[in-house]
Amino acid sequence: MFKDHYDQMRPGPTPERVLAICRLLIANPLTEEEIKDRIYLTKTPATKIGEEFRSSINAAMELGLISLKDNVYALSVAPSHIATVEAFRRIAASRAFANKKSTFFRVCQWYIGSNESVFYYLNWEDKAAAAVKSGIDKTDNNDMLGWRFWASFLGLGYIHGTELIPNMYVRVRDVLATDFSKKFDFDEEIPADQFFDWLLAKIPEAKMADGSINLALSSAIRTLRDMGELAPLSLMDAVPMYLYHLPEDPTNKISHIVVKKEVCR
Amino acid sequence: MNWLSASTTMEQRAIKTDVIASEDAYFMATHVPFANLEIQRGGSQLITGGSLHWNEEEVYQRLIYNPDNIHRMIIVRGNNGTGKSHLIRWLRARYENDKDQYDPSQEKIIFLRRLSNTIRGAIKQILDEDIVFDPDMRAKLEKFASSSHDMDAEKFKLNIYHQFIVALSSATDKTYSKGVRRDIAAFLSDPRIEQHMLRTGGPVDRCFNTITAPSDQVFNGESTTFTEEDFKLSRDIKRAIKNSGSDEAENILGEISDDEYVSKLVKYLNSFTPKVIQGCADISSESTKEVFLQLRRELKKQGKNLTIFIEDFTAFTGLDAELITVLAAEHGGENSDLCRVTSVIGITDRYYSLFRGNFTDRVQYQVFVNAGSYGSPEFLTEMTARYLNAIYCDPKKIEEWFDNGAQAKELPCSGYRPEFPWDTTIVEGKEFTLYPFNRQSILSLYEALSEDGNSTRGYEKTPRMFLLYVIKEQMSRFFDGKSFNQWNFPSEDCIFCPIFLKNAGHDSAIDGMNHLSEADRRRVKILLQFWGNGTASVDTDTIGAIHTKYFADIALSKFTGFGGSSIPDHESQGSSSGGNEGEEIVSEADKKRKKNLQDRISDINEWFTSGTTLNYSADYRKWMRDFLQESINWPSDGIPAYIASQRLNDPSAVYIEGQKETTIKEKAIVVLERTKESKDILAAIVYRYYAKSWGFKSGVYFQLRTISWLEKNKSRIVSAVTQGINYGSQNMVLKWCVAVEYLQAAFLGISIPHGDNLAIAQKLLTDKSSTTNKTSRASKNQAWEGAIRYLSAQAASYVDCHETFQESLRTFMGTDVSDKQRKIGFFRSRELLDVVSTYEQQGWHLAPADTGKQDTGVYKVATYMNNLLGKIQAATSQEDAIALSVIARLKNHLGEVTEDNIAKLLTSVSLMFNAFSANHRPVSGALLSAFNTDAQTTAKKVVDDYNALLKAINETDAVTKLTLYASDPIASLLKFVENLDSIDKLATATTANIQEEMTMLSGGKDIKNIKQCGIDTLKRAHDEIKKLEVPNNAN
Repeated sequence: MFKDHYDQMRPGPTPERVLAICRLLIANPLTEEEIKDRIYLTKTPATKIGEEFRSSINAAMELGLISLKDNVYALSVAPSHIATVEAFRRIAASRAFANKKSTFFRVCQWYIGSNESVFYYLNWEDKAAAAVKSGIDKTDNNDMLGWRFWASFLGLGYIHGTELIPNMYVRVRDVLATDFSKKFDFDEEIPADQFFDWLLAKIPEAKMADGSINLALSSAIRTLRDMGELAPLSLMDAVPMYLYHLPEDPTNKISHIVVKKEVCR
Repeated sequence: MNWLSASTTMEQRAIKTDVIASEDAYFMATHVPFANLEIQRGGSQLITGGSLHWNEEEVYQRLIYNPDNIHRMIIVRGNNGTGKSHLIRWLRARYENDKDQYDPSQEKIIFLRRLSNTIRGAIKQILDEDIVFDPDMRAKLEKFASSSHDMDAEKFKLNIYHQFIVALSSATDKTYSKGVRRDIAAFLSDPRIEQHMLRTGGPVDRCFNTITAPSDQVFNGESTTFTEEDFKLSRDIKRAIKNSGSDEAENILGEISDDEYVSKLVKYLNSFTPKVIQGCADISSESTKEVFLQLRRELKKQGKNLTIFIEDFTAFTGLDAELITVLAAEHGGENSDLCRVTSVIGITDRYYSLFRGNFTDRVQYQVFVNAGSYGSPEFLTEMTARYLNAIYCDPKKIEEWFDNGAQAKELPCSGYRPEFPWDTTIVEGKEFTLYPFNRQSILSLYEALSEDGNSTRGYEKTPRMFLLYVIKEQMSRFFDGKSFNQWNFPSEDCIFCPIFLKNAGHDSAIDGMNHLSEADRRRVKILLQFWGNGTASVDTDTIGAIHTKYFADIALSKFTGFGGSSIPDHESQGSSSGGNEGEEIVSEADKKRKKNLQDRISDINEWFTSGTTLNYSADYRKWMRDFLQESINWPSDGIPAYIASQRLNDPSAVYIEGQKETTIKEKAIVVLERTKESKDILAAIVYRYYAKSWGFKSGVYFQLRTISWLEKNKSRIVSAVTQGINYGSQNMVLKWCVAVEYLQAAFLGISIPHGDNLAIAQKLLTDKSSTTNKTSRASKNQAWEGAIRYLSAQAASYVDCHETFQESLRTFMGTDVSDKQRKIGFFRSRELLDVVSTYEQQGWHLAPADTGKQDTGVYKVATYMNNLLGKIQAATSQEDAIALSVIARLKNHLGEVTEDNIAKLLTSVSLMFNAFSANHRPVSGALLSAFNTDAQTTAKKVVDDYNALLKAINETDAVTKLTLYASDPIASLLKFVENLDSIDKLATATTANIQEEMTMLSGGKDIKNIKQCGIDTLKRAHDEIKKLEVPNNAN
């Protein structure tokens, strides 16, 4: 799921399942058999165990959340990282987007970098074909079906039908809530270029080759604004940054940004 | 430009309230030539494909100008407001001003206008034309023309009514027999009927109005004096006639319940209207004809011919038949004393259809003024330009032009131009401004005069309505703005279609512009929709294809549109116009789909702007539920997908204010009030549904609106879905589910392997709906058995609870929890194990749940759990009582319940059985079998059972007590006690038998010793048993 390209992104290991496996290991390490007994809550014959089990364990391993030693699986992160779904999302995101060579990262980068073009592809198969065309070879329909669950979970957008509405509100909010205060102060004006330099380092999947701010990130900024968690400013005589142009929206040009404490709610 | 003066010119000269009454100069200045008039020979109905197409000049040259003196009756047909009068008025003016072809010494022109739309007005014009030569006749007509002024209206009306009765009584036709006519006359003469017919708005009132209606009344149809409604009488009137009316009146009263009878009567009475009017004027039909015959004779004598223009023939009601007869009489032959007549008569299509018989054989030509004559963009644009020019022009110039012959080419041009480029059109070779209209607005406002389809909202799309309700209406508002800075221009008062921009995103964004007043936002929208291209896109010098300065010109400078003009090209990144154009997708899909989309968008706009009920709310609510189910990452918010699915599958989950369906607002998960935000959300899901994608035009804007709305409302939605329950670790629903499974197992006697959390979890997760417990317990505990029967009766509740338990723990891929293919037994087991662990640590002390009176959704589980808990007390109390009784009986046999005592007793029983056997005494096989056990083992089991019962009896926790009793521990102890009772009975009975036998055998010496031996043995055994038994009074 999160290995270097090409790595199959199966639909079976959903975030919920990976978290379920991680949580089983909070109390004590378990063998695969013990995990299986607990996950299925019945003595399930090996033939009836689907790919979702093994691939969920693999995904958890790939994210560095669990480890295997002497045929026993153990939790590799502090239990607090999986105590809540939100904490799990944040740790998973930090791991999932760390490997820029992974199929997952590359597809994320392609999808949100494609802006509105993604709406040309009305089903996941067409989206996979477009990803292949863009250079992410071997990506198929099944990969996209698996990818969407994680992309949506990690906060890149909102699934509706066969589309993922690109809006990184959840992803950006997570980063602002956890890391922003390490570098900046809340409720202070920050030059937009500094802000985006910092932010894009935290969310590398959103970085565009031409330096533009893509639709998913622009929508995130606008949603943060609508939520009262961020205030985009356009001050005179300041170097502006341009969001993805949306004529109907008042925020297209930004010189400064104020991130409000409310983002941590 | 002096806007106040222009406004006055419009009101007093160019566009008077009575359009027909405009001055000749302005009439000529504003007249738009008819370029395409449909012409048909003869007076019969229009034959499709059998007509000619001429312009108005050709009509004039070929039909009006009549140098060969050919008799011609020409009718100009068309509906109200289409321009018949305009054409007739122009033809007359054209002829009068035709210096080359018109010779007043040879031709008399009479023009009878539609003044007042009344017969009085018509007669006044006849008098004014000085064509009534008979002094008596003139006197009578003059009296009539002025009488309705002077005469008391009530008297006049009474006269009209009596004239009807007189006309009816003196009729000689055969429509009705004389007797029936007499009855009808008597009926009409009844004072109650007279009062009814003289009521305001009644038949007499209508006839009176035909004669004397005020001049500003637009005549919308032909005289219809009586109607069927007039004969729908109230109960009081009917009762009064029955009680005190004449027999004749009562006869008719009996007939008028028949619709056909009434229809015939109405038609019959209406046929007297002309005669009644003549009667009121005290003139006869013959004398009326004579007026016009005398005129023709007189003209003939003078060597003249007659051309008569009648704007609206319907005004001649009462004289119409006579007039037609006279005008139809061809000169020459028998009528050699009459002059030639060319008559041009305007009639509506309806009048023609009613009185076709008068025209069919008499008319030479019909000229049709219909949509083909005036509906073209060119016609409407020129019409607008001419009126605007007349309004802007100095009135003196117009008058001068008219006085100089009103030559079209010489028509003065106002020369007015706004200070920015604006639409113009060429009229008579000159460039006329269309300001403040433009081409686009002229056509679109004309189209918006009425709704499509059969709706009765709005006005007929005719030149008259266009003039009054587009040009005059908008210009009045425009002048108010310019003169008094009170801006209500453009006005939406005469727009009968939804105000909504083609670019839905722009439409929505304008609604959000709080720096504009609501009225100004509305003006902007009307402007962009009707003047512009339906968008607010900024381009060089324009917004929505309308010049930017125009916005400032009408006090809308605060509106700056939407566009990327401030963005340097090299930095502009994409735009919302990218992606799939929603409308293109729709149009490619099919027309029906597009219409459905438009219907729904209009529905939403009407709902928002006019407060109407949503016609398609069932669709919106369904699509909204789908969106919520899919777009919220429920597991990410810690909510089992199953729970979300269950809650959002309920159609009442979404409530929209003004929805068509009846659902309870308070029970809804999402409530959309009638707000701009809701409008946007609804529009978004509708566009998305029909485009099958979020890539429709303005899709990015709507995505943003929708996602921001979603995030703002997410916590509320989540709370409503979860019914306020936190689905985190140790969540209540899971606890309730586990409790239900645990209690279900207890009542059904399924043992729970305490001490092994995983095993407990597995056991609990097992479906127990197929497990049946025997309803009768050894204890005959009726309360317990009642609980078992309750479980059976509530099987469905358990199934629901179990499904909630299992499915809310299951992991899903996506939100489609109904997809069995993806239904894998992959559980979030940690949560279950944690709950089991907690309960184990707490000794399964289950307390009733506080449901807060909620009984829907997951609270059903709590309710069921509470019900089960409610069964425990009765069941266990009764079980306690039974257990105590069994223990008492046991102690009765044993004294103290110890393994030793039991073992001794069992040994004695064994000895007794041996004695019985030796003495051939029978013992039942069952009893032998019951005691054919290892004494120590049995003793231990009895003590264990005894202790188990004591433990259960002494347990204070109800649930624990239930589980202690669950395996029915009373049963085995009770059996043991019952077996002891049997032994006791057997011993007693056998002793009695032996003593009886001994008595019988006391005479026999030989067997005496044998008998004594047996008795001794049995006695010893019996004594042993007796020793072990606790005396009845021991306790």
